[in-house]
This record gives sequence, C-alpha cells and structure tokens, in this order.
Amino acid sequence: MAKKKKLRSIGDKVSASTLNSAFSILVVAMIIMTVILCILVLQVSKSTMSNLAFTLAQQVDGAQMSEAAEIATGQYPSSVLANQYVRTLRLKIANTIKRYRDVKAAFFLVFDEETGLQTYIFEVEPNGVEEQPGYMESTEAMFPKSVRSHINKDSIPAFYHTTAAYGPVIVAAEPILYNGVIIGYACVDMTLHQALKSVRNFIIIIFILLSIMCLIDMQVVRKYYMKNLVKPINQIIDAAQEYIYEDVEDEDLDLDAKHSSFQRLKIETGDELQQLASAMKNMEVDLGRYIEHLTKVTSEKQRMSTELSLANRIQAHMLPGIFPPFPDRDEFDLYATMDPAKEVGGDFYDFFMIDHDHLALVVADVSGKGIPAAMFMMISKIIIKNVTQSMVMEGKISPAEVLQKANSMLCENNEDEMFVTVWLGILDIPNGKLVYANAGHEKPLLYKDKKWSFDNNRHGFVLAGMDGMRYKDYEVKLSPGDFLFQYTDGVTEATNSDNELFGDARVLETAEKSPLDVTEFLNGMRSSIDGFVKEAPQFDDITMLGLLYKGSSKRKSVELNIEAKVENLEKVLAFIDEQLEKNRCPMKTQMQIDVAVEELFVNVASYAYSPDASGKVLIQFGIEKDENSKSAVITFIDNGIPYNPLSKPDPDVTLSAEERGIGGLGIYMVKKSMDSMNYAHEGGSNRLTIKKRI
Amino acid sequence: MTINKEVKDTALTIAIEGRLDTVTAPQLESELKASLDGMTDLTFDFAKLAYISSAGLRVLLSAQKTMNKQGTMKLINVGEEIKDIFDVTGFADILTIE
Repeated sequence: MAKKKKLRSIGDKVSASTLNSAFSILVVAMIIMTVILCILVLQVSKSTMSNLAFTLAQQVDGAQMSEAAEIATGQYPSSVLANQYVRTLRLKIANTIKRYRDVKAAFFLVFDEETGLQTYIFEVEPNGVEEQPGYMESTEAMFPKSVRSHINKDSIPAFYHTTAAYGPVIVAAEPILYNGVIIGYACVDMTLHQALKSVRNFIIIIFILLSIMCLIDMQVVRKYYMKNLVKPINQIIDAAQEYIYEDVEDEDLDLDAKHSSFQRLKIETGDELQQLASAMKNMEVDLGRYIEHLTKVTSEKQRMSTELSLANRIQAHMLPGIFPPFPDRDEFDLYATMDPAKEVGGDFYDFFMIDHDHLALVVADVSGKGIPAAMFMMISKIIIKNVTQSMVMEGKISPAEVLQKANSMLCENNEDEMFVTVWLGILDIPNGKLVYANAGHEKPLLYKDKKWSFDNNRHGFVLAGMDGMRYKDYEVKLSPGDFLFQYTDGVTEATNSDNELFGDARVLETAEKSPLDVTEFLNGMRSSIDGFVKEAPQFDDITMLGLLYKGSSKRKSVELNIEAKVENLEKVLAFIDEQLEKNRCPMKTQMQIDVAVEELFVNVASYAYSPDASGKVLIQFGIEKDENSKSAVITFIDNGIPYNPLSKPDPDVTLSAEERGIGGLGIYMVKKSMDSMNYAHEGGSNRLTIKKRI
Repeated sequence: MTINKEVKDTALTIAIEGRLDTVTAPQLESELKASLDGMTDLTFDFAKLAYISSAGLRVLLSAQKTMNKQGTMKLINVGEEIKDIFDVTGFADILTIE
C-alpha cells in the first residue's frame, strides 16, 4: 500500500513558488544594482578627482612651482623663499583637500620619461606618512599603461589604483604649466573604501527591505489564493462529502432537500471555479432526478421479483409434492415432476384419491407462459379437481363429462383467449380399469403386455377454447406391472441447439431402456432430455407423470377405530398384540412394534385434537407379503390438526443427562426401530404409516 | 405394573415388574418423588421389566438428574430388549447399567 501523502494547500504551494521566483528576481536585481552603483561611484569619484586635481593645478604659481621642482630634483639648491612658498602652498592645499572626506593625499610630481621615474616635489597627506620632496619611484608602479601616454602632454584621466595604505583609490593628475610648458603634475588620490562601504550597506539595507516586502507579499498572495481559490474548492469538497451523508441519513427529507448540498454553494469568483460550482449544481439536480427514477424503478423491480418468486412458491405448493403420495397404498406407485422454464409456468400435474378405490390423474398445459399462464393454471386445476370429485361422488366415472363441464366453466369470462390442454384419467384401483379423456393434450405412453406404445385415440378440443365441446371416454385395463407415462409438450418439443426436437421416437426409445420404477423412469427421461438438449435454453415447462400399476392390494388389513385418548392405550396395544401374535411375530419385534404404536398413539391422543374436544383415530393393521418375508404395516389416520412428526429434527442423543430434553425422543425411537415410516396429509387427514418386518 | 421398594439406610432399590409405558410412568414418577429425599444410592432392578417407552425414559432421565445431585443411580438386571432401547436413544451413555 502506498503511503498516504500529506495534502498541501494550493494556497501554500502558490505562495511558496511566488516567493521563490520573487527571491530569484531580487537577487539578480541586487547584483545588477551593485554593479551599476560601483560603476557610478567610480565615475563620480573619477570626475571629482579630475576636478580637484584641476583646482589644485590652478592654485599653484607656475614659476614658483618650477623652482620648487628644480629644487626637488636637485637641479637647483633650496632657497628660503622657495621653501616659504611651498609651506604656504601646503597649508592652502591641506585646507582644500580637507573639504573632501575621502581624499587622502595631494602630491606634485615631475615625470622623467626617459628614466620612467617620477619625482615628488612635495606631498600633503594629513593622515599618513608624506613622501619627502625628491623621493623617486617608478611611474609604472602607479600609473597604468592606459594613461601613461598622457604624461607630459596633457591631463591624465582619473584611474583606478590600489595602495597599501588605503586599498582601492582613484588617482587624478592635472598638468602645471609655466610659460606654456608642462613642468609637473598636481595629483590627488581618493580612497574608494568609504564609498564602496556605503554601496555595500545600501545594497544590504535594500535587500533586507525588499526581502521583507517579498515575505509580506507572499502572505498577501497566500491570503488571496486562500480566499479566491482554496476556499471555494473546499466548499465544493464539503458539498460533495455532504451529498452522500444527507442521502443516507435523512430518510424523511424530500428529494429537493436531500440533494441540495451543491445548491447551497455560493461561489462567485467569476472564474472557472464558479463554472465548476454551477456545473456541479446542474449535475446534482440531474443526479437527483436520476436517483429518484432509479429508486422507483428498482423498488418496482424488487417488488415484482419478490411477487414473482412468491407466485412461483404458491404454484409449486399447488402441486402435490410429497412422494410417495399414498404410502399406505401398495396397489400402485406414482411419481410426477414439473420444471418451469420461467419463474412460473403454465404446466401442471395433479393426482388425488376421489374415494378409497378411485385415483384421479391430471396432466395439463396452459397456453402461454409466466404469470397469466400460472393464474389460468390455478383456476383450471381447481375446477378440474372439484368437478371430478363432485361427479364421482354422484357415481359417474367419466373423465369426458368432467372435461365438458370444466370446459364450459373455463369458457365463462375467458376474454383473454387462454386455453389449456388436459389429459384426465381415473383409475379404478382394485381392478386396474383406467378411464381417460384427452382435451387436446399429448398422447400418453403406455407399457402394456410387455411393450411400449403411444395411445392413438382421438383428441378432443382444448379446454376453454369453445363452449359446448364434447369429449370421449376411452378405457384401458391395466394389469399388474403396466406403466403409464403422461407428459407435456416440454418433453417432446425440447429443442437442442440444432433446432431438432426430442420427439416421440426418442421418448419411446428412452422408455424402452428405462426400468419400470416411477422415480427412476422419470429421472431417466429427464436426463435423456438434458443429454439431448445440452446447453440450449429450456423453452417450455417440462412436466411428467409416471404410474406403475401393481395390482390389487396384497395387504390384508384389519381396523380399529377408537377415541384418541391415552386411557385407550391398553386397548390399542391389545389389538396390535393380538394381530402380531396371530402372525407369529417374535417377542422382541413385538415389543419394538408395541413401543412404536404407543409413541404414535400417545402423540395423536395428546396433540391431534384440542384438549376439550375429542376425536377418533383409525388404526389399520395389515400384513404385506413378499416372496420370502412378511411385514406388518400399521397406519394411523386422524382428522386432527395437520402435523408431520417426521419434519421435527432428531434429538441429540449424545448429550449428558443434564443437557437432555425429552422432546422428540418417542418419534426418534419409532424411526430407529421401524423399517420405514411415512407421513401424508390427504383429504384433511393425517396418515402415518409404519412398516416392520416380522 | 408393580413397584417393589426396598430401603436400607440411604440406599433405595426399586424393582419394577411389568410395563413402564405412558399409562404407568406417572405412577413411578410420583413414587420416586415421594421416596428419593435423602437417598444417596438408587438402584432400579429391571429383571422383570417387560417393556419401556419414551414416557418411561423420561422418568429415568429425571431420576438420573436428581441422583446426580445427591448420590448415584444404577440399573441392574437389564434385559436385552430394554438395553437395545437404551442404546438407540443414547440413554446407555447417561445411565449406569450393570
């Protein structure tokens, strides 16, 4: 992870860089200024010295000076008069140069160009050691080459020179004339020390002042940027941060108040920042509208999808879903599946016992898909079941008449032109007679006389298509081992990616290879379809129903109908024991069955009916015989509150005595000691069946 | 069901004859309630017990919980069928069976 860099304000950055460049400019300016000042000082000093040298040259008398020069050079002996004159002149000159602070000395020289020497006539140097008259030195040492050409010709321009005593000095020399001839020069020198010092001090002061100004300026700049750049940006940042909070925290705010963090901004800088703020305001408004729209759409979608999955659940629960559905019936095996293509489908299957001996089977397909199909499916399912039940109650076993009546009921108010194809069969369980009628549905596949074939009887018209349609009953007598497979077009019209249909031939082929076990048969058919279709999407609901007829019951059952009261336990056990003893049940098994019967009976007696009311429980005892074994099958049927004891979790039998509860232990003992235990809620009754080999 | 009690100091032996089921279990429960006070050794003799259901197990569990606080409890002469039930329900782990 990269380290988070500390943020620096734009104001600081801008003022720092301003200060930086200001200082650079300042330094350059100071250098230039220093140079200019130095040149200026030099020029001024030079001109001052030239003027002073000229003044001094004017003050001397040529004749007297000529004599003094000759004395100095030793051409002429000194005289009192000449000395007198020199003394007076010295005083005068001293007075003159006193007025110039930096002028250190005035001296008079005679140049001898041949020897390159210069001889002092005299020197006035108030604060130093004066050279004595007649002192000689090299001209070159003092006068640079550039000015030497003027010697003994005219005035020597002021020049720069360095001395041991005074450091840098400006020297100027002016010729002294006698009878138009140059007899010597009046020279002055002036130290630059003070002047340069002044320049240096001046520069330092200016530099300090300007530096201070720069710093002040930097603060001003910083303040300016803070106010005009950083503050507005910070406001925009705050607004952006607030935007989310407001949205999340204040549910009650209406939308305008919710998204107003940018609207509250007051940025009138008249530049890009103002533009930015106004763009953000617009964006906020747009975003607000968008969010509002999105929220509506999303919640709508959410609601739709919730309702759709609810519809899916309701639809799934509409279909009988517990298999085996009638565990106490050994005359047939029944299994059915429905896989909708969308969340809710239009296919359905149904089966129900009409009375003790009649089983109704329905497989149907409503036109269309989705919610409308599901709604129509529910109506169809209910109408078909009700009509079937009421007709059979009246003694008529005619699926055709059921379909006729259901058709006219479904045609009422069917303005959306929905329709449903239905295959309805009613099985007479003891004798295996199956009566069926077909309203535009797929032809069932039948295994009879050890071979598979499609039923080729004529279809009637679909239900809800046209009122007054008539249907025809067909009949087939099932023998033990016969198998009926009914389905919807989702099976035959399952399509692979090459647009090939699964088709009747493949259904038949798969059936011929499948075992005659309802669950395995349907699962095998499904995997055969899946293997054919592969990745292609499922277009239609796939519904299948399988029925294996096993012949009339091998069970011989006796019944005890008794009031569900704990006090009757002894009677119940006496009944069971009598049956078990008749069948020569081993003692240990008898005890296990007794325990199971007690637990189940006490359960019904305690919970099935409310304490003040009483109800009955029907106990059926049967013996089921196989080739080499026989089992006791005991069924408890009560009309109490629907309760499936198998749905309760098993108790934890590994807990210590202190942690143990006693709940669920009875049912657990039954489960453990019996070979099988099944529950069904059928026709308003709880049916619990246990089976134990004896 | 018949219950035979035998008390020696603080040791109580209860022999049960017949069926311990939903109907008879409350009888054993009240018998225990009345006589367990001060007992440190409780022994059930199941030699003549023919049958036990979950109601009987419930009474045994509550007796075991009581005896855990004041002493010990054991079962003697447990028949094979009854032992099976104790095994299946996990009671074999919480009861002392000799």
